[in-house]
Amino acid sequence: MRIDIGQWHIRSYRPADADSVARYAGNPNVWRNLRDAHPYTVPAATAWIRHSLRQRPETNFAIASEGEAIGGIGLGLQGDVHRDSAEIGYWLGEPYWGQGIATAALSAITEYAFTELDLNRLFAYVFEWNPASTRVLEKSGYLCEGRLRKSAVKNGRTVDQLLYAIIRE
Amino acid sequence: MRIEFGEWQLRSFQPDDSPALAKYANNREVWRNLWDKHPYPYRVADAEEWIKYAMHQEPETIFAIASATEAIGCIGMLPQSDVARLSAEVGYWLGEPFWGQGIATGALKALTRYAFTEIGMVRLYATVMEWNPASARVLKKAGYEYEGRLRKSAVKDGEIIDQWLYAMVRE
Repeated sequence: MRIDIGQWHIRSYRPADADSVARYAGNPNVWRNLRDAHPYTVPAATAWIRHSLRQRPETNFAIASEGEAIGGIGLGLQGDVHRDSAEIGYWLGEPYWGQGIATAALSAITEYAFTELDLNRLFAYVFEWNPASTRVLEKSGYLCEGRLRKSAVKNGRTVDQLLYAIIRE
Repeated sequence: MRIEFGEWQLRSFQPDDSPALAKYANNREVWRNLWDKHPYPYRVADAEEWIKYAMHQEPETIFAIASATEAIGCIGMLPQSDVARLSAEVGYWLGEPFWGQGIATGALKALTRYAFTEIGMVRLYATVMEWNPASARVLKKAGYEYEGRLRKSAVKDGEIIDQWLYAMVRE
């Protein structure tokens, strides 16, 4: 899979991405906004990439320059009565923040999820201390549906999360 | 585990609960408000499998709502993981003859207290299908607060519907 977004693109992971994924995701400023189970080391990134490449349908992708992976974006498909929904998550290496890359990647994956995976609803949880991510969601057309009080434990703190979602029209 | 509330109780499942559980679960009006994992029609074999699953949880998270003589419903929590590890989703159902008597509210209050004090949870939440205001009232009466409307978040009975999110946080 490959979708171009300006000078960047979203594509399937490659085994060689492990080094850049671990280098960018291992940054504490990235880590503090993500789940605890995230590839922050080269062995974890290698396992993560292997797992992502085996998934059908493919739901986890690299955000990349021509030279390397600079971030990740993925969908967590839900089950049972939530089978038409997916949770979306993304991250970008710190040198690439503030350039609209996450917004472009999120917009492209949202379109892909609705048209290729036939999903009806995508949603994301954002830690209360991460307004940059809520701006990315808003610019991509997501709406805030609620504040989930004390719904996460991260970096030793119990924090609220904001729930954002977009519906296929 | 056993917590009494009025003439009812929340207690661990027993293998011989399966006929009563199947009798009350095998109802389209019950099924319509639950995940599809709760089948319809609902056989005694489904109840046996569910009770075995419930009895193997450690810590115990799924309980019978019961009268002095039989199981009349079910209530449970699904602990979440990773950064959500102090949260659990709660779910419950009650046999139709027992609706409208405050039993679900009593059971939910008991489970909520158990989750906060015995399991160490910080947040409990539930999603209610938009056509089920009775369940939203149960949550409100048990102290849960409305947090948002999850647009088109469920597919049930051939329809794509909204759900209401309710949650309670440990003080």
